[in-house]
Amino acid sequence: MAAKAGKDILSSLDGLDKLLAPRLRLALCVLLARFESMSFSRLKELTRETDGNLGANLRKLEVALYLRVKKTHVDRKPVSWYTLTARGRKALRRHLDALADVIGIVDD
Amino acid sequence: MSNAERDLAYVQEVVKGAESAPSGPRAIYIIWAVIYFTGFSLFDWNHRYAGMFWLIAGPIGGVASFWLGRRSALRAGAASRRMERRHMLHWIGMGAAIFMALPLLWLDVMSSTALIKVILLIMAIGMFTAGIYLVRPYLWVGIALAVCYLAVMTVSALPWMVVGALSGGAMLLAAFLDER
Repeated sequence: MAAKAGKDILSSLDGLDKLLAPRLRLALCVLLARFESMSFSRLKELTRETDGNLGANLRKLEVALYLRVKKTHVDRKPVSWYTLTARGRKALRRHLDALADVIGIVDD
Repeated sequence: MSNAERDLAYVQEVVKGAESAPSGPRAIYIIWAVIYFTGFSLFDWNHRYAGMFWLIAGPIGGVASFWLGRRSALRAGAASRRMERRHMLHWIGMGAAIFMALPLLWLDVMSSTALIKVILLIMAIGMFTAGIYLVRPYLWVGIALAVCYLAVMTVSALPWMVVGALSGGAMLLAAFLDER
């Protein structure tokens, strides 16, 4: 019984995405999945992170092709818009499903 | 509290912060408060002018609201085409229902006074459902319009002026109820 639970937890942990393990990156992906497109300054305001930390985490997600960045101008000011890609959305869903499984196994 | 729980609480707090942003600039509510007050009050004086006012001010108000909403979203740094589409479908749907009711007047199925009441009811339903699915404070505008629908049948002196004041006032109240 305990061995089966252990096996279940291990298989669920396999589904967890290491890239989405830090809470900031998970929050960024959840935000973009829900609100479609957000600017760097809005993300900074919501997450209360420093420019450097936020930028570095966004970059990691961008390199993994989880996010797409588009630079435009709003009121003549440059704005970077971030959007979740189909790949990012799929990875987020898989990660959240795995998290739910782990929580379910622990609760049982 | 475990690390996982702390992380999920953080994600929840961040998303909650994004959701509590105002749904649009106050200017949109003010524009519609003016249109409601003027448009409805005119029915007490001249149905023809009132009808013309709505035919012109309605679409202009709609386009102005769309433009102001989009500009505000871009400035706030959160743009959603999906949400924009949902808003457009809802308001165009309500506008289409109103236009589809107009032949009832041209075909002499009902009088202009009865038709305006039907349109008021369509607007009440439209605002109420917008309050449920799109912008919460519109729920109260929908309820106010439903009260107006009942009031117009019971108030004898200047009933449309009462409707204009009630609906315009509800729209202004909605501007302050929108979370800021």
